[in-house]
Amino acid sequence: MLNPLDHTGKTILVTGASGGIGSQVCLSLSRLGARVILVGRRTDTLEETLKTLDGTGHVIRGFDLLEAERIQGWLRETATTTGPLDGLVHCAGRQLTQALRFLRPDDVNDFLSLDIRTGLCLAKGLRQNGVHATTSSLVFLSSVMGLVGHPGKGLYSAAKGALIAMTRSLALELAPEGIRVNVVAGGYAPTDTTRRMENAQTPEQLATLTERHPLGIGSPRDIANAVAFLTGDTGRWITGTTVTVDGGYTAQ
Amino acid sequence: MNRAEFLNFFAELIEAEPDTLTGAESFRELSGWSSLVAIEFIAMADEQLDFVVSPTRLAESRTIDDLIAMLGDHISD
Repeated sequence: MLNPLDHTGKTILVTGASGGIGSQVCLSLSRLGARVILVGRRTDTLEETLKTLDGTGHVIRGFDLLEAERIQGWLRETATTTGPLDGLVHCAGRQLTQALRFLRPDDVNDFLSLDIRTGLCLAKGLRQNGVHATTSSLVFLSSVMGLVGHPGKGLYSAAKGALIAMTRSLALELAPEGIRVNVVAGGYAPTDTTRRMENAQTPEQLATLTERHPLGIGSPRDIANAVAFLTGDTGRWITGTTVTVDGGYTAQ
Repeated sequence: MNRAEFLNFFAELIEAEPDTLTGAESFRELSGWSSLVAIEFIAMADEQLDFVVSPTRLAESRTIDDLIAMLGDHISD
C-alpha cells in the first residue's frame, strides 16, 4: 500500500531531541521509517528519547547549539559518520512569557540566539557539499506567536517571527541546491516543558488559552505530523512556507 | 529572604514604593498586579527561593500575608 509519508531510507537530524516537541518529532519520524540523528546538550536525556524510537540505526549526537561557530564543522563531521542528511528539523528552543518591564537587555541576545543565530548556522552547515543529500528538507519550529501577538510575548514573538521571515529568504537561496526550507507555526500543544508554563497560570488563564483554540489544545503529535509532511516526499514541492498547525488559533 | 525583604521585593514587583506594604493588602486589588506579574512571582519563587508555587494555592491566596504563609519556611521572620 502506498504511504506518501514513508520515510524509509531517509536520515533526519533533529535538534532539541531531549524533550518537548523535539522528542515527539524523533518518535514520529522513526515510526515512518526514518533513521534519526538525535541532537541535544545532554546525552543522558537523548538516551531516554532513543529508547522510545521505532527501528534501528538511530544516532545520538551531544552538542551545545549555542556554540554556533562550531556548527558548520560539527555538521560536516556528523555527515561523514551518518551520510548526507535528507532533512534537518530545528526544534531546540525555549518558552518565555515575560512582562516587558521585567526584561533585561542581556536576555534579548541570549534568547534570540537559539532561534536566529543557531538557525542560520544550521542552514549554513546543511548547505555544505556532502552534508545534505541531493534533495533535503530544513524545517524550523516556530509558533503562532510569530504570527500574532499576546501580552508578555514580545521577545518570544521576535524570535519566532524571525524564523518565519528568514525561512522565506533561505528557501529562495537554497532552492538551487536542492534544499527546501519551511517552518511550522504551532499553537498550544502541551509538552513536559510547556506544562511548567501551565503551572505558572491560573485555571482561568488556562481555560482562556483553551478557548482560543477552536479545535481545543493540540498534541505534540499534531506538530510532528506537519514536520513529517515537510520532511517526507509529500513536501517535495513546498518551500518558503509557514505551515500553521494551531487548532484555529490564528483564524480569529 | 525575611519578611521585610519579601515585602519590598513584592513592592518592586508591582512597582509600589518600598516600605509601603504591610502584608495585609489584597494583592489582586493593587494597581501593579496582573497575570504577567503572577508569572514573574512564580518564576521568582522557583529561581530565588527554590519553591514551586501551585497555581491552585496562588488562586486561593488573597493577601500578601497569604503568599508569605504559602512560602512557609522559605521566608524567615
